[in-house]
Amino acid sequence: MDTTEVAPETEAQPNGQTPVTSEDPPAAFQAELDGLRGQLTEAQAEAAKNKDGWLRAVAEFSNFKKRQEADAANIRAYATLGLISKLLPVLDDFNRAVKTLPETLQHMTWIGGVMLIARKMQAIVESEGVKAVEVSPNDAFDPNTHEAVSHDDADGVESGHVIEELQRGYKLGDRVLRPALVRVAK
Amino acid sequence: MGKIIGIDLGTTNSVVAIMEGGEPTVIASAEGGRLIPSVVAVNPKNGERIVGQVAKRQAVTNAENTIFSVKRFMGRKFSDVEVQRALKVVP
Repeated sequence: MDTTEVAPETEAQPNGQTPVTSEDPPAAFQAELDGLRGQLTEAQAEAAKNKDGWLRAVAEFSNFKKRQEADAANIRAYATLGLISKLLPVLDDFNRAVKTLPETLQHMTWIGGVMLIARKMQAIVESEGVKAVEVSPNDAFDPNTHEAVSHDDADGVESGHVIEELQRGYKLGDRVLRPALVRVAK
Repeated sequence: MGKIIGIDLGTTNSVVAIMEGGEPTVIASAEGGRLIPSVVAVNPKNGERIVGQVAKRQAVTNAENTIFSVKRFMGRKFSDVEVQRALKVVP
């Protein structure tokens, strides 16, 4: 029997008696120690995994918040877009009516009144920040704000430039509500 | 574990979404639209690539360098019967 491993209480007592020992405590102790070490490693691994997961969730939440704030700002800025887009065809019709007013009617005050209505509508739309896309003949064609309806031969107009505007375009701030419909020279 | 992005490459329109908090969220384009026309073009003057709504707007003036419905041709060779037939019909 290896006496070096014997626990202190089993050493020979001063009165000469040696206490009786049951199962070797060191072996059982060792087994328990190993078991605990194993559990500790597992627990540490799980803790590391949880921490990693938590950090990712925090980062994702912060990204989500940023996106939500950007979206909310967008919604506030462009809230009226939908309704105004629906009203644009009405503006188109008024513009067309004004352009084709027969000469015989131009002096009628009633007509003048109707024109004021058209102008009032235009003013309301403009007060929302909606502006017409400015395009004149011979401007360079810009697909960001224009939409080419046809590609035609045209004397006096440079290739890739606008011949004429067919329908007015509108934009709200940076965003194009509706591109200007144009004919482009070949 | 990177971000997961989902792309619906449709023949006429495409949609892109990302996973956020376990839920998919559709991303809007710079123009604010969530449906992006599946059109691609190259500006012949400067080689600039144009995609989406803007590409569609200039399709008429730059037909030779604008592609749409590309999904119908993906995976086929230029010399394929299908492609050659479409060349005659599609702008």
